[in-house]
Amino acid sequence: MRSGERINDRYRIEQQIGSGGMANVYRAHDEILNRTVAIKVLRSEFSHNEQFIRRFEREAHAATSLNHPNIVAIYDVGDEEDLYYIVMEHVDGVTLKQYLQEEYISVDEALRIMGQICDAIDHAHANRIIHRDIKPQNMMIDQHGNVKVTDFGIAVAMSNATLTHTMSVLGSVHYFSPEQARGKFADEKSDIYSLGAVLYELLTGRVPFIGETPVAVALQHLQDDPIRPMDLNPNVPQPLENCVMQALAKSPGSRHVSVAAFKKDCMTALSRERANEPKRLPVNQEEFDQTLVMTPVVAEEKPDTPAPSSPLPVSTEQETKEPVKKKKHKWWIWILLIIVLIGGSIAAYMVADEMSRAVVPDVVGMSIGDATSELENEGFVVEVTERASDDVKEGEVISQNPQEGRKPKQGTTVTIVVSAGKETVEMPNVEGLSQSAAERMLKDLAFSDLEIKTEASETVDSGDVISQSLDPGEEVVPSEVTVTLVVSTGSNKVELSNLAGYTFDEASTYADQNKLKIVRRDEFSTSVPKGQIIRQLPTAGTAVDPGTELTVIVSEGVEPTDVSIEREVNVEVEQPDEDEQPKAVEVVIRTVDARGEIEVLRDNITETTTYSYTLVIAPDEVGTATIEVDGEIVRTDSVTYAQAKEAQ
Amino acid sequence: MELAFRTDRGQVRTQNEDAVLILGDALSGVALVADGMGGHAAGEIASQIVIEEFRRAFPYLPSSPIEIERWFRHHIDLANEQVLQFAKQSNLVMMGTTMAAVCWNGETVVIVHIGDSRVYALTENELRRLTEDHSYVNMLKQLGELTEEEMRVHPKRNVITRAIGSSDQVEPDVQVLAEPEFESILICTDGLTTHVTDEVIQRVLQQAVTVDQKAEQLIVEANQLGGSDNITVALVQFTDRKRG
Repeated sequence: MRSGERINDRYRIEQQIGSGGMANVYRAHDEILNRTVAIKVLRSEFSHNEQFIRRFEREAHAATSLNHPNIVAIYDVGDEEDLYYIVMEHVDGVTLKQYLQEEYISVDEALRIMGQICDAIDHAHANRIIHRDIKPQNMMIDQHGNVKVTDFGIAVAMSNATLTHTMSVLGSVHYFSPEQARGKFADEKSDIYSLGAVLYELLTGRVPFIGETPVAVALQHLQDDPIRPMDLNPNVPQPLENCVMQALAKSPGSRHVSVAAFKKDCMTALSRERANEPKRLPVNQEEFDQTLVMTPVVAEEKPDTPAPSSPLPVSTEQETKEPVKKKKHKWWIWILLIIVLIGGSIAAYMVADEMSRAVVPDVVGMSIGDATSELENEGFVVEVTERASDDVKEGEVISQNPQEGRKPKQGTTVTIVVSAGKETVEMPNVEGLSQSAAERMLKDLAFSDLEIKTEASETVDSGDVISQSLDPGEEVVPSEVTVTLVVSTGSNKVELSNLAGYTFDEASTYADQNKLKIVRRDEFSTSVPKGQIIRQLPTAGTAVDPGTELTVIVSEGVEPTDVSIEREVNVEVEQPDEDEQPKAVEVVIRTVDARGEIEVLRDNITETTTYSYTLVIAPDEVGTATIEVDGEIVRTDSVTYAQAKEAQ
Repeated sequence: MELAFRTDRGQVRTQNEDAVLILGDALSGVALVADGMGGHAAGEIASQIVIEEFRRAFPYLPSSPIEIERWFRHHIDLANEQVLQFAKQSNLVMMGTTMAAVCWNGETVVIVHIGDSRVYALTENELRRLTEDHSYVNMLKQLGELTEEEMRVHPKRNVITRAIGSSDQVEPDVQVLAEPEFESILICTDGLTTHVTDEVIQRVLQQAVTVDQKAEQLIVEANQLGGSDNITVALVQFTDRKRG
């Protein structure tokens, strides 16, 4: 955009005052309200990505709800054709990054700036807005030292994953929290971490972690402790360092509970009550979660530690104050005593100063007992933290802080981290998970020796874990155990196919293949051709165990019925002489057949006659007719079923 | 030797910023994919610049392994300069492209990549990924800080740490292999691997179908699972090498 150009017929561009990855910032004049404003204009390259635009607008709108003297006010969000812009309060000043010029500022000024930033972020949190991208580049400071924070929520729009394939929008990794590095959701605690990083920079003139690449920096956020601010700027008092280091805790649960708590911790750091505050011990929530217990070695000198289950309360320093003070008193009495004993005040001072400092010995690798006595001999207070380790034997010192060779005052607390032996984990419950999910979960927990067995199961789906060899909840060292998972191969049962229409032989083969016992039954059927299976028991679709009887009903074809056959018989009567009266004969025909025994005919005839009669023959039976003439059987007519059938 | 490639806009994007090039034959050749990025047409132009650079360069492909590596680096530098210059002229802040390429000449195979486009090789019954993504999440994963699962859902999973066009100097990963026993090589953009698992890729590559059908099948698989990005695959099947 050129100076003189107008946006929305209202804002006249005066000058470009900044440019970021996604937007340029201009100073402009609002001709309606007659005031100077800053306008952030989305670069036209990105004004075609609708999803991004929507998000950009939504986040900008959310930020308009914030009204606070330390937050750059948003006046207007708009678009004109392809131009997307945010109209903001114009701050006549420079960014905090420019202001610092890579040098640290006085502790007093750092706290004054930090207090304002905290107020801004606290206000946003109260309105449920997380900044997510707190960095000195997002803070404006004017010539009166007023600080205003800007770009609320924009980070979310920027990190939109569906935005173009990206290479430079990693954002500033110097201030983001370990959880943001991991891609976890950023919340209030992430903002507190970033505030800690900004305070670190105000106090030391450099960011907590310096690396050649963003990945190198991100990795340090995840793994490393920053150099202690006191080592970079001797003016930083211990309580303030404590505050910074707590905000920069890796675990969100170990940081201050709120921005207000962080602010209070900062703002009281210079108070007289806290003047003798010792180095605050890292209260790492995660470590506590992993069976870690602070072991008091010098019980009376150990500051109270909060209950492992609760996050570190902000008021810890109040609780730790008392015993420490007592200890210091003892020291002063001791030194005074020396002074008195030696006499001369100058000499006494020098001796006292020499006495009060000692070289920290190297105790890494020693047993806890040796390390403790060695350190105590040098006049240090020993604090022991246990941590699981695969490499260092139980009871041996893994690391120490301060390092060997440092020359802190005697009475300083030296923290030694002692191995609690190999790390144990709680055996997870993987039953019911898929094999791959279970394996992944176990491998993530460093279980390397997995054994897979398979088994049929009626209740567990194929591929899912039926059982595990170690009970859930059991504490084990993953590298030392073998975990056997029994994975289901699914049900053994056979779901019966529909065999209707198959031949018995085919069904037999099917039964053999599926280890079923086949039983045959035959039935007549008018619809199923002979030899084919009519139906089955159990019915198709039933899941059965191997060895089950499978009854198939095979068609015998159409049921045969009785057959009728017409038969004829010729009964001859001898013709008498012409003059003689014909002599009558009695003819009786009886049938024995499917109908039983029937007399079908009784007749008297005088001449040869042909009779017909019917035989009804049942399957495989024989029908018989007897023809009697005058009481004498003259003929027997037997017809088999087959013959009758054939004659049809 | 059979060659095939496919490039597809996917189901979500309105443009295809990927580009692909396959040139050559069984004796020598180059297969290359590029996944461009940047607003407007910047992504398409960036990936196209790389393709055109290698199209022009291919006739001058040298034969010795050392010379091939040098040839690759030289033309990547040239492409990088062109992208940087175009971005500068057009006042674009974010313009760049990934690149994954395979070049074969005689018995030598050279694998090159920048960014999160990948090269896979199928040997016997194993699919191997030959490239390590130059991405923020993959680097954290290599350092043991992220699991495969966390990587897949990380909001910054598509942030790459190297690209042509991102800085004056671009450092490709180059692997020179003598007589590798590959059955086939797949070169693809992250539009494929975002959705399709290595197991599925292997299954597709092992099917008894033409190399063309395999390429098509990979595109289909990615689109069925969402097709959230442009998808590009190039396949090189060393049919005659298989016996060796």
